[in-house]
Amino acid sequence: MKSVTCARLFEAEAMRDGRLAGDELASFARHATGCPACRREVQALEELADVLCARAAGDAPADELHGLRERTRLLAAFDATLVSPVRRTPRWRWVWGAAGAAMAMAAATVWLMGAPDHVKDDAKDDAKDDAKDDAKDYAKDYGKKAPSPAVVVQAGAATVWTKSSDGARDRIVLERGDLWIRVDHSRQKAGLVVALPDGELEDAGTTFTVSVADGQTARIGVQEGSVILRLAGRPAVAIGGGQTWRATPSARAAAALDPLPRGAPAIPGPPATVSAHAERTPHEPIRPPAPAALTRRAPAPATGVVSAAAEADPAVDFRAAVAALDGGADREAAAAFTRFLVEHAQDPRAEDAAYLRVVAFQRCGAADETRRAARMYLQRFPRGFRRTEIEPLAR
Amino acid sequence: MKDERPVRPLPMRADPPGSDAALMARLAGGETGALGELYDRYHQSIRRFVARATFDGEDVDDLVHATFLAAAGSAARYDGRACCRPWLMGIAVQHLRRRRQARGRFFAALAALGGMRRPAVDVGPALAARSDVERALGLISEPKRIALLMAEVEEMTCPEIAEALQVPIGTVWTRLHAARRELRRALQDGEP
Repeated sequence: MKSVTCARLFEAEAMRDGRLAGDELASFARHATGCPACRREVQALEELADVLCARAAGDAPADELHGLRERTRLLAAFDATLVSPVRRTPRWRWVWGAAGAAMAMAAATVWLMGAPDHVKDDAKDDAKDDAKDDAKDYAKDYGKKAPSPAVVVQAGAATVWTKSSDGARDRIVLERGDLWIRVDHSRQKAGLVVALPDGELEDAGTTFTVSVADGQTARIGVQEGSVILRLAGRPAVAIGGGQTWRATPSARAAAALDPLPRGAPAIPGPPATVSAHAERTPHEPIRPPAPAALTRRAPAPATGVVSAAAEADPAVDFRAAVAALDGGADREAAAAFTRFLVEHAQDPRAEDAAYLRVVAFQRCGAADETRRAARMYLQRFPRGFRRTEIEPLAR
Repeated sequence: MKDERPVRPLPMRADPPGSDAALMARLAGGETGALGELYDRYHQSIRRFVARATFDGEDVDDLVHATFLAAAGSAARYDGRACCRPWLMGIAVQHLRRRRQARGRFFAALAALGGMRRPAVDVGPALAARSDVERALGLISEPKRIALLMAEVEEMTCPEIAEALQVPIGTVWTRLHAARRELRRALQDGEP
């Protein structure tokens, strides 16, 4: 005897996987109530899920003591990653090296005291060469460059900033201009806080640039790691590697209505112990910020926009576009999917983006754009997963 | 000389103190205690998921350990979503995949050295001792099994699974369809 089947049977699984929505979902739900085959299929899928969940519920919970041991092992391993390995030099080598260096320095001092000027200049040049040679020797001996400072700061020509430390953490106060900062957390255990006229920036293992103009934060670009931006009266924003935050015009206007006093940090910190004077570095000026490639919807900070810098993150872009679609901003979603397809053409989600772009245009009621987007989908993905759904829309 | 002005309190983080996002921010700052809290919240569910997905239970502890350690290393890149369980599962799946590939290479090297065929793991006795469902699950491929467990047991949506596995959503649907078909056939006929 042949079993009764139905052409819409596949929709039972589509419904379970969340592929049906709106009218399609309602239509199939109505159909399933009157179709024995589809009803049976829906029930079978539910039973299968119940069987799997029942099996999972029967799993024995892990032994509590074992869990505690594993926890301790994990935390110890994590602590070990925070401590950079220290290369030990044998004591006898250190003693002989120190004695040799002291003798050489004494001899050089005695010789230089009686030497003519041109000989002294030569000696200075030699000292520079020796420093370079030392760096090379260090690299040769240890297979790496001589250690650089844990916090490296480069400032633009007109930048006014100060750096201080309370022993627990470093603190940079940026009054105006641009700073490029790199924090090496393998040696800088404490965090670094950049005090801005209108808030603060906390680093989390980072290379980043920060710009202040007209008494407020104008731009933050993160090349590596991430930073957390906290502006007064506004929610914190996490800015990840490859992202750029910019103040929105509305934030600037708001700041203009309620200007902050110039020349003082927003967050009073502990007394400075290292230095507290304005510094101007001879380094080359910071490059002007690159134009933002796109503006994201989510996760949108209250005061600015996070935009892609040199390398846009396709995962973030895709999620932002999907969030726009979910939020009913169909026109924005269509534009975001279009940008995604241009900027991340080779991404595995490109097909999904092309499909969702069609959906977004369709929801806007833009018939011509829907047709064009559908044709583009079929052209790019002739064997695409949603081919059968898209084909009618391309006509 | 700079002007002195009164202390203006700064707003704290927008994330609630106990939220996953706040926890990940602390972890990104190198706070060991935050990793302990993360482990306390999710180690049981991650452990259960890994144990079901691997199906041999041998190195579940090492995989869970590697998952949390990798999460700590990537905490600075956490995207701030409210619950980090799907994110942790994505990391666990990456480790599962690496383990499978490493095993494949190991057996290939053994075979090349000895000029012998790959020593097939005899799962027969272990499977015989298990229930029909476990046996049927053990006979479908790991990628399909993982997708099915994520969807039906962990109750993750298809977009979440696609993001965790870093595959297109169409692939997730295909894997789910194939996994259900094979599982149903195995439960009915005794083989996939």
